[in-house]
Order: sequence, then structure tokens, then C-alpha cells
Amino acid sequence: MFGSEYVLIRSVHVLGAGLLLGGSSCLWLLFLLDRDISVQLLTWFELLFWPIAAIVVFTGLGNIVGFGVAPPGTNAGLAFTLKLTVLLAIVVSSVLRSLVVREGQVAGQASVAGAGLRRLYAMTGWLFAAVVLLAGVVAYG
Amino acid sequence: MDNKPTGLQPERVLEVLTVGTGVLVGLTVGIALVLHLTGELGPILTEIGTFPVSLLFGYLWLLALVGASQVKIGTAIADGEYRRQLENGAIVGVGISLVYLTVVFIIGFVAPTPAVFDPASQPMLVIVGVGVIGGAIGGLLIVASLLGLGIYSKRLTN
Repeated sequence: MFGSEYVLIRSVHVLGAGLLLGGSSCLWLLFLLDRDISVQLLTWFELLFWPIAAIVVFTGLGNIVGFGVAPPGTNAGLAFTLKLTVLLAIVVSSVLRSLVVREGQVAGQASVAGAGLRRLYAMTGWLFAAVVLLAGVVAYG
Repeated sequence: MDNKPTGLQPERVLEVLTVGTGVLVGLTVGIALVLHLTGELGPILTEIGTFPVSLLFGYLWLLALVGASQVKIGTAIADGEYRRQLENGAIVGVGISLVYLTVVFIIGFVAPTPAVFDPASQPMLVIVGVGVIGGAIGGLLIVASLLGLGIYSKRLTN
């Protein structure tokens, strides 16, 4: 029972992070391929992004309860420090990104083609990729 | 016929979800980072346990969303009413702090397991005072940061 509980928590954590990494990367690629992206599509992503982000952070805390965390002085502990720092950068840039999408909604635009928004999705994708790499170091050293 | 829309506008739903969840997730990660650097993260979470942590997180999420619904970042930037929203932020910060402390006190008194802090051994007025002042300053700073991000988001849109 102990094993299954924490395997479930870790699975949800990894799946959630995968969805956010995949979603933001796909939208960045869409911006690169087609300059006009539907505001409705971006709104859907943002509305899904925040609950999933909350679940990822919450299951991350569950992971710590189940598997522990290395002391800050070790390599794994340093990787965990970096992981949390990168996560903070993701949160701040994502609030900004969602507010930009909201501006598109308020303006009644059907689609947006902003370079700023494209960079923000790229930033989210790359920062999540960094989190995945750091998570590997945290888990396996 | 009155065509005025009723209920929450889609942009307001996105704003409340973004502000409420973003602040909660940001604060959780920030606090986790500080606790990790001081070596207290693992022991504290293990002591509390998975189920209480889940309840606490869900409870805080609900509080954060209710709090976010009282602050209007987009409207404040459009109308220039920054001061009113900063005041709202301070009031919401105090409100969340008091509601949170009340529940923590109740759980602390009735729970059979050790709480995060033992309310019986702490001077109640000091905790409430620190909670109110901290909530007001925290709410003010958070809304100020969100207003800054909101203003920058307008620049990115144009």
C-alpha cells in the first residue's frame, strides 16, 4: 500500500510536468510555424496550465514525504535547490504569459501573433526541460 | 432588452485562476526553497504527513482563489485605480491570514497528533498580531508585484 500510494503520486507528478512541458513546447512551435494563434486555444491552455501546475507542486511535496530530499550541501541537494529556483522563474513568467493572453481576450482578438508571447511559451518549455533534467539528478544523483 | 453579461467574464475567470493559483504555487515553491536551504523541508513534511499536507494545500488553494476574486489587476491597470487594488490586497492578505490562523488554531487544539506549532504554548495575541501585519504587508507586496506584471503584459501585447 505504501509503495502504490507514492508510485501514484510520482506518476501524477511526472505526467503533469510532461503535459506542461509538451503543451508549452507545442504552442511555441505553433507560433514558429504560423504567426497567428487562436486566442481561444491559448486560453484553454492557460486555464489547464494553472490547475495542473498546482497538482505538480502538490505531488512534488508528496514525493518529498515519500522519498525524502537530499541535504542542500550535496550534489542532489544543490540540484533540488536549482530545481525550485527554476520553478519559481516558471511561475513568475507564466503569470506574465497568462496576463498577456488575458489582454488578447479583453481586446476581443480572435488570434495573436506577438513575439513576446512566443518567447514566453519558449521560456516555459525550456525552463520545464531544465526542471526535468534537474529532477533526474535529484532522483538518481 | 438588456444585453449586459451576467456572471464571470472569461477573462476574469483566467485572471482569478492565474492570480490565485500563481500566488499559491509561487509562495509554496518559495517557502519550500527556504526550508530546503535551512535543512527543514524533509523533516517538516514527513512530520505532517501526506494526507494533512493534501488537505492544507487544497484549503490554501481555495483561500487563494477566493482572495484573488477580490483583486482586479486588469481593471486596475485599465482604470488607473492602483491604490484601491493595493488596499484590497492588504485587506485580502489580513483576511486570509486570520482565516488560516483560526483553522490552524482549531486543528492544533483538537488534533490528536502534534501540530506544526503548538498553539497552547504560544502567546495568542503575538501570533494573531504577526499574522495580521504579515498578511497586510504580504498582500500589498503581492498585489504590487502583480500590478507590475500586468503593466508589463500590456507592453508585451502592444
